Amino acid sequence: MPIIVPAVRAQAASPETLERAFEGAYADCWTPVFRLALAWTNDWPAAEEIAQESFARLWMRRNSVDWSEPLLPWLLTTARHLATDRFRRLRRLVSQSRAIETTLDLEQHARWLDIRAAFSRLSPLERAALALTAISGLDSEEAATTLGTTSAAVRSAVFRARRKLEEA
Amino acid sequence: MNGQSTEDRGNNADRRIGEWADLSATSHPLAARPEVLRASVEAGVMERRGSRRSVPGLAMVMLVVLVVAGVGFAVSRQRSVVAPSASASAVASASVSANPSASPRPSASPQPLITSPGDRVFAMGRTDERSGWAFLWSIDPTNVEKKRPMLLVTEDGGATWRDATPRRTGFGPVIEFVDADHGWYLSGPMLWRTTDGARSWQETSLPTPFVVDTAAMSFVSASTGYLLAPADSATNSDTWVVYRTDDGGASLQAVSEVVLPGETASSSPDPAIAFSDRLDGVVAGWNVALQTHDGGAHWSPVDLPAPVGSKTATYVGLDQLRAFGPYVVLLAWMGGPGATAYLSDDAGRTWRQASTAWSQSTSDIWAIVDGQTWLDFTAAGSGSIQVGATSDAGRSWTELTFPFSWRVTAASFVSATDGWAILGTDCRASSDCWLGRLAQTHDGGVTWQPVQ
Repeated sequence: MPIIVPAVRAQAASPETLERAFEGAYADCWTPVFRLALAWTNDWPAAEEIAQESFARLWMRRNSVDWSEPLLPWLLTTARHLATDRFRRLRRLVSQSRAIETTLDLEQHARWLDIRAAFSRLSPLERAALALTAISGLDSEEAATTLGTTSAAVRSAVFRARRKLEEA
Repeated sequence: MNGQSTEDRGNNADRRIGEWADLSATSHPLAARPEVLRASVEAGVMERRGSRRSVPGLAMVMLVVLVVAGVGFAVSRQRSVVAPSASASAVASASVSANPSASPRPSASPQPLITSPGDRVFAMGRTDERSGWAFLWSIDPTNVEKKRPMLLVTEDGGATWRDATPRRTGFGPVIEFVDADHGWYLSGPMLWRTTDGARSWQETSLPTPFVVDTAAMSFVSASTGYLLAPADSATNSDTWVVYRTDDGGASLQAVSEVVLPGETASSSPDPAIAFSDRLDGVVAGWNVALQTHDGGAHWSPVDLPAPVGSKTATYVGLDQLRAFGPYVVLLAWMGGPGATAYLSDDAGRTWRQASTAWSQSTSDIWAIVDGQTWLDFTAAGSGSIQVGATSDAGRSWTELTFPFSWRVTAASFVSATDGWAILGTDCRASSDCWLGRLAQTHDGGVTWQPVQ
């Protein structure tokens, strides 16, 4: 669930405390947030942008965030929304129209192209359900909350995803 | 399949999933390091205090602002496009709030005329053939005095502009004009309203103890409108309050509450609200779309048919929602790669899919002129753009592809031929690429000229 709480709660925190909390959130949550964005878009540069923007938004709202609560649900939901919104579509087009510029080295890049092709047979929902449950360890209820659907739909999407990958 | 055992196929899936997991764990871009993000945010690029409407995106990093030089909008025509005229909509965009107890206070003194809105336009809207507005993040980022968000309005088709910014504003207001004189501007907790073409503004505050930085609004006349705002922006609540005004926004009355699952004051982007008349309206969030036919007192889910080629109708998100009398246009995400257009011609009671397989399979920007006339701008690969146009609510489309080196980030048309667009820069070169410069077309997007 999102973790916006009355501003007074965070105003008591010192800047140094907030910075440490933010760095902790980055260390704990970057990979699952990036994975959700990657699953939704199947586009490495766009996914890094989405994850990056999600963390930037967290820092923008630092004074209204309850840092004692788990931050991953908020970050995942924000990333899912960003991955779907109009600006993201535009960026995706841009990234598709150019040579892929990623943090990957050449060998990783080649592996990514192969994996991306296999995962392109899956729908965004199927990839995202798989990433959240089989890889990031959320249960189907938590994944459903993030993806704005039902746990049954998540389980079904994971089943379809595996079936498609079996054939890939 | 093909001689593989069940176990082999399962292993194949596990191997693929493992490869994906391993590789995806290697992403650690320098630009996303906490210290870099903090510095970028604190540099002010995204400091909009929660205005969710305008998502700067990639924004934050390595801010090398490349101002695009030269505006060569002329393009060559490869296929003819039919762009029949249609009546223009006066509505520019959408949303916001007000308080019955606040006393009106004029603001915004006369400003010198401005010849160009520049290249940092964030949002714009056409009110009629002569009038329109543009919201800029700054007109001159190198000038301390001018490095501030501004609302500009024009009454001569964009030849000249005047500063019409309310006394206080953030970077992501919600702006709506129903005609050249009557408009509303929501920023933070304040709703500003004008009855004289933004020469003066009166302010009211939301009837809520919370600072509202997320809202949507829909006016059906200069006096009657609806507002959708979070019930409690300080908690995780996904309950939203529907307010109504019958005095142009001077006062608001809470009409009902609606639940938008998973959508709180901090989620993004905003939900939308669109009313056809005083009774009939639609609210669309990220997981649900609702309809009312009694002025917002009661709401029920909108029943959308499954998109062509899909067995199920799973509404997962909102792109645009607009109402033009009984016609309501909903651009919805239905789980596919692009938006699906739905049209209701009975104020939201029944719906039909109005986009073709072509248009719903693309990533695009739509200009909704009215209930029948729409344009769809789609990047068609490197250096070209595809424009789809319909004047019969999607029953037939004409398509045109031509070379175009700009990105259309927003479009607002008053007819099938006459419109404005924000042309954005290349996101590879600029971290401010969601901003752009205003261009106008008089031939349905075939040729463009800078608005200045």
